[in-house]
Formats: sequence, structure tokens, C-alpha cells
Amino acid sequence: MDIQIPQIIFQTINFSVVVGALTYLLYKPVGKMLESRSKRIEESQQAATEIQAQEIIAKAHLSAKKEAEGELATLMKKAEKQVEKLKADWQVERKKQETELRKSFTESVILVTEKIIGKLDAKTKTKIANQDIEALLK
Amino acid sequence: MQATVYSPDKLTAAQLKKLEEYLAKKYAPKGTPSGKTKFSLSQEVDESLLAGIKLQVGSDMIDLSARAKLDNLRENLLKI
Repeated sequence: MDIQIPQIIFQTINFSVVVGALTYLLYKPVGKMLESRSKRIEESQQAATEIQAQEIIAKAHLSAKKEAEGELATLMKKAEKQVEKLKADWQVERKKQETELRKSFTESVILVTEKIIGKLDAKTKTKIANQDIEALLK
Repeated sequence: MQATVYSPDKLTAAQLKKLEEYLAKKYAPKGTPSGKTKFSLSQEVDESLLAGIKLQVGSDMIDLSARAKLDNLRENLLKI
């Protein structure tokens, strides 16, 4: 079998042309397309991850908010109850003080009046007795 | 009929007479003229009454004394 040099050169040129054409027409566009697709997927994944993270953060916020609201409501209820109790205690104490004051005032009035009546002279006491008798006779 | 009058000082004869008149008029049995019923009115000194008189006729008690008025005043003041 003879080696035909021109044939080899022709085949080599032919192969190079085919490789060049394939590279230019197929490999580069497909590579570009794959790269772009890969980029899109990566971006989508990143976006999805961000959304998931945001969702998790939002859920955590909501949960914390609910918990805080629950605690706040409990504290408010507790505080309201304490205020009500203080009000009731204060009313009872006020009433008690009022009663004591009234009692004290009354006793003072009675005591002073007793002393004044006790110091009345015999003439005035006779006059009072006369008035009582006249009231009976009417 | 027995009656007792209480007062912080002794009553005069005129006062006792008027009280007897009152008793005869008020407590005479129905149909009996007022002068016909005799009352035995006794007198007792009770300084705690302060002033005025208190009359007891049987189970009836008429208290016009200053003590009763003060007790009444105390009761009313405490009710307010």
C-alpha cells in the first residue's frame, strides 16, 4: 500500500475544515446555550433560596410576634386584674375610713352636745322639762 | 294605775300636776271621765337623761329626754 501524501494533506485539510465548521456552528452555540442555561438555573436556585430564607425569616417573625402578642395579652390581663384588685381594695379601705371618720365625727358631736347640755343651769332644765310636758299635753 | 317619771332634776309640784292631768286624759279607760281615774305618779332622778323627761306608764315608755334625742341623732348621723 502506497502512502499518498497529497491524499493525506487533503484529508487533513478536510478534517480541519470539518472540525472548524463544527466548532463554529455547533460547539460554540451549544456551549453558550448550556452556559446561559446553567446561569439561569443558578439564578433561579439563588432566588429560590432567597425566597425560602425570606419565608423562614417571615415565619420566625410571625411566630415571635404571635408569641410576644400572647405574652403581652397575658401581661395586660394580669395587670388589669391587679388594677381591679387595687381599685376594689382602695374602695373597701376608703369606705372603712369614711365609716371610721363618720363614727368619730358623730361621737365628737354627741360628746360636745352632752357637755353643753350637762352645763345647762337648773332654770333652763326646768324650761326644757316644761316644754316636754306641754308637748305631751298637746 | 302606776306611772313613773324620770328626770335629771326633781320636777316641781306644778309639773307633776300637769303630768297627772296628761295621764288622766290619755290613759283613762274608755267611757270613764278623765278625772275619775287615779294615777300613782312616782318620780325618779336619773342624771344620765341630761335634760327633759321620760315617762313610763305600764309597758308604755315616752322618752322625751335629751339622752334619747342624742341617741337618735347618733343613729341618724351613722346612717348617712
